[in-house]
Amino acid sequence: MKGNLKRFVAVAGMSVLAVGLAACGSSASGSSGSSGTSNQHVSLTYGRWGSADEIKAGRVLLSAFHHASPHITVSQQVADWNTYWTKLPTQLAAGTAPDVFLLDPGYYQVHYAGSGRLLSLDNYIKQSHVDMSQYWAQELPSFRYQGHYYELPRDISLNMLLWNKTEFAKAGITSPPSSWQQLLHDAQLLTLDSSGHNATQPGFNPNNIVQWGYGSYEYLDGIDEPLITEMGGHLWTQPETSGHVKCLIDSPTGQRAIQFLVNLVSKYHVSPNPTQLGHYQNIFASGKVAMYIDGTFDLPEYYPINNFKWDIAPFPSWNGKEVSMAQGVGNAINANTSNKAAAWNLVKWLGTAPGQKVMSQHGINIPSIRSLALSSAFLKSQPPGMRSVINTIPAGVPYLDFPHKADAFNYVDTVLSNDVFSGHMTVPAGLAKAQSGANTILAGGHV
Amino acid sequence: MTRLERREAIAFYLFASPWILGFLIWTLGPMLASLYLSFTNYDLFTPPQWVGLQNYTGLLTSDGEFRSAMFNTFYFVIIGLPVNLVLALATALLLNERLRGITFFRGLYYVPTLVPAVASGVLWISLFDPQYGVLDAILRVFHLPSIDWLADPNWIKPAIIITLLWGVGGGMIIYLAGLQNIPEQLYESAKIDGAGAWSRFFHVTLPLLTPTILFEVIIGLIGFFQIFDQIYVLTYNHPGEESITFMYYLFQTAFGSETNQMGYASAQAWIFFVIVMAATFLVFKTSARWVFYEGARQ
Repeated sequence: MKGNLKRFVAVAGMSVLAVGLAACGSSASGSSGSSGTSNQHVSLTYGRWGSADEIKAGRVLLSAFHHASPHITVSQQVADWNTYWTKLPTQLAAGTAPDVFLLDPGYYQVHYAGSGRLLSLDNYIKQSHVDMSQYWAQELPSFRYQGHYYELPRDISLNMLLWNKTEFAKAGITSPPSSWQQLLHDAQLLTLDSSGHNATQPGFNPNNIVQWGYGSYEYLDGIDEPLITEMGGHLWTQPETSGHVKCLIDSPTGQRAIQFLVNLVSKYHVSPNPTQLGHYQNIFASGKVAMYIDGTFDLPEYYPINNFKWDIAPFPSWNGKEVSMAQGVGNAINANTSNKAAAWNLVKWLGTAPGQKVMSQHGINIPSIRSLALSSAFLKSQPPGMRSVINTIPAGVPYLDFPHKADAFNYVDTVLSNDVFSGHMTVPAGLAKAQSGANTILAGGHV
Repeated sequence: MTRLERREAIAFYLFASPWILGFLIWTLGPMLASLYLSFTNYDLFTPPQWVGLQNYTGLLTSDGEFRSAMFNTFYFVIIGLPVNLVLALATALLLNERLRGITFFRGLYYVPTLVPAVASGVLWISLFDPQYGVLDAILRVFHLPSIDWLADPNWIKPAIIITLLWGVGGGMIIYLAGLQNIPEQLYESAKIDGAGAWSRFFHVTLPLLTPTILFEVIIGLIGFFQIFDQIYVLTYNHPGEESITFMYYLFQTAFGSETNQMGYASAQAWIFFVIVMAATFLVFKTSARWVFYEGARQ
């Protein structure tokens, strides 16, 4: 999921503000009029989460939509990631939710679509002749619930390796690592103590490191899950649509993957520990780590870097096996909107060529339409490595939702972060705890 | 009832009606609704399903996180509250001295209570830092090992109690008012009878301050039972079993979970309500033995 611990402090203040504003503002959904005929003016509310850059670009996108459909005015209702998922269900229950809203189908679709809160888009897609084959095939399964579409894809997000080209050049390395084994090796050369020794040299002092090769942190579906999948295992029992999913973090493969990531901190000393990581709002941008893994949706956070050269590369492979997690988000229609036709107009525009073209020019999200993601109009706004990152999509695995997934996910993520990566529990003990708790949650219980 | 009395009664209820209506509509109504919901499964999206006592039995028998939340909350009440009360009183005693510029210091000690919990929480995160934090610098002076306050399961609760000491200014102001209400002549006659500073404190100040202490204990009790903001900020919204509190778990169950378990959260709220009521009742009940009302015995 896109929730990210390290940015929590930054958004905490904002969310307090957002909650305050939401409480002060009127709760009108902004739906006036009941028909969507073309000559009658319609107002819609569009709900979304996003960073400041995304929200700014979103405003431009919506005014371009208004330009194309002058009879529809859309106001944007924004929240940070955590607040969004707290606010949306209460708004839906109170009947004040936005007409159209952004949804992360990999974690929330079963609950929202399963309880009838979303409009099925099948008929609209058919009537408007939306060509579903124009999208990345790897992300489409996420958008279907029991065989029906409930969102039209907005984008596709991938995991990427950020690498500091300036530091790589200083260490005499010319290209980013393509495998985890190579990453460890490079990270050892890039980790320096205060007397200038790297982690492979005699006399290297792990207690006085001034720069690390890599920043290892708990990121369950962004790092742990793809690594486990590359190693031939799974985070959840397959198929995820079976209805009886269990957590496999404590499987031999899960143990091997997490142990490898923890070793980068405690055994090889090529990565800061969570407390040291916490000193930085953005540790890669600060230049303290030479490599870092993040989702492409976070790229705007790195654009302000101006004191070193950097680029992005695909998520590293394990023993030649490359897996990329294809995480797309889409726009859904509130089943209770009084403006279904206008709402579909907006969703269709955002998800098809007209809106996707405008979005690709902003370069913040990778378009869900393949040809646009590979177009020079989009790629010219991106770091040079973006093409190689996009080229991993065919090795993509979709995120599929199942009952209680978000809660089980959050539990495992919290245990791994608080107990395992911090070093307060051994990897076997922490994973046993995480797995048994997750399975209790998945069975509908409480830990 | 005479006509005048009746008119007075009507006027009374009219004047009190804003509060009465507000209480009935905005407090009692939702409370009764939550009592009903506590016997159901309710996820906001689908109608509540009656499950009888299942939520209560689940909470009390097979929910480890609820047990942790209960333990931690009582830890804060039993250890944090007395420390807070004593420190607030001590600060008030110091600031009750008649010195030049004392009002400046009274203001200074009160200011932290005006800082929003989120802002002071973020500040404390840097104070607690094991590498760059001020607390660590102090430990180093005494050659003590550095403590990773917020990441170490053994230190997170003491760390939260320390942050709560920031709020002593609120209690201090009330104590200060109480202290200034103690008649000067009592101290004078005690002095004449040969009472020293300690015995003046224990035999004059403390007994006359007991009504204020009772007020502080009850307000503090309710406040400490409801600790939330500090946990939310200091654990980055991810408390572990050593830092989760009652209120946080309730919030987490109702709003932070994927399926908004309102019924389960309502059951927690009612268990919580009964505990806080019982604790408050206990304090009131024992107060007859230790609270001294000056007017009452004259």
